[in-house]
Amino acid sequence: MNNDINDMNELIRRWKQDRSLKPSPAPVDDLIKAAHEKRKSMLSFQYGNIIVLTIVVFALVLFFLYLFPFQDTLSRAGVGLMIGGLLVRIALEIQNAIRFRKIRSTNSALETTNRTIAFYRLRKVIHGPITLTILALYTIGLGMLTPEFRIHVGDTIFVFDGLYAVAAIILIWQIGKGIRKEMKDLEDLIAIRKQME
Amino acid sequence: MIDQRPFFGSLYIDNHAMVRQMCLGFMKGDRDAANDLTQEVFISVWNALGTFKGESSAKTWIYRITVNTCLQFLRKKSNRLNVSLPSTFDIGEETTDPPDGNQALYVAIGSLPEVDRLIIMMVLDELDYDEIARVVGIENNNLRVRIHRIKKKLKELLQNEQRYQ
Repeated sequence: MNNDINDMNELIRRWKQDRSLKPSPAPVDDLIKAAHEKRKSMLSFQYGNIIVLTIVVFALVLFFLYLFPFQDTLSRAGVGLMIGGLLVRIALEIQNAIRFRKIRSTNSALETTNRTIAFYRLRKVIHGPITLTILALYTIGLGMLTPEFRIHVGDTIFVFDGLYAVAAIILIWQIGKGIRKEMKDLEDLIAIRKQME
Repeated sequence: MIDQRPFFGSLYIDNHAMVRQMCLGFMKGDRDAANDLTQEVFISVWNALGTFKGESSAKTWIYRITVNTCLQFLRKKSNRLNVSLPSTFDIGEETTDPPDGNQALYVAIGSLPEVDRLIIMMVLDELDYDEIARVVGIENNNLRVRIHRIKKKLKELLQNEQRYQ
């Protein structure tokens, strides 16, 4: 027992002896500058998707209201599916941004880890099944517009549909890549939480 | 609006060595990685400064930020938000090199699971067990049992290290 105490006291002595770094106050301004940049990056990370999706919704609304006001019920339902899906996604992104803001490095490690896990779990759902469902609704909606669109633009519509299909495939591939990365983050976090149990 | 720079400056000076040493232990003695991590901690300190209410001591508050930043650092490293410090950035001059014997201590600490690394470094800093329990967010009794196990493991690691030298 005494040996253990002596060992520990020796370790504490060695540990404290090593605290030899003398920081100069000079870099504080650089640190603050870096902190401001980081805050900006965090804000664009949190709100970037929301802003982009909101612009897309506005563009679609303006297009369907002023440039191409559809008359058929089928087409209008299609517009509803396209815009409705995007609105649901925006709402979920806002909810996730709120969760992100609740992650504070000033809380206990367990609380911070739990909140980060909750954030990643919602993110996984949003970027996985929900985005795929919204993409499917968007595709169905676009398909419902095609008959009326074709009356006005002819077979060119199939070129647009083809381009859309390519974009959708790229998007699905990107989603898969993003989800794999986030699953790894989630697994790491769960492993850390297990260490605290 | 109150200028937070003087307060931040004093926190930096008072706690830099402690934070940097914890980062060094967490990063298994890798100085470059420890310097990066130390910067991350103080960036987090600045960004959280508005939330400091003085309910706990500034030191405990900085321990919390250090522990959380360390735990998130490895994960973030592969997915870093695009923030880089100015190329002229230098976190300070190291006046002396750590004694060689302590490298073995950092390596031994670095061999422990992440949370255990942080706990033992707070023990080496002689932080109260109650405070460590609050920083980590686990029950005091669990913490005591755990610290006992970590000390034992650390001793074994250091003995193994000596045996192979």
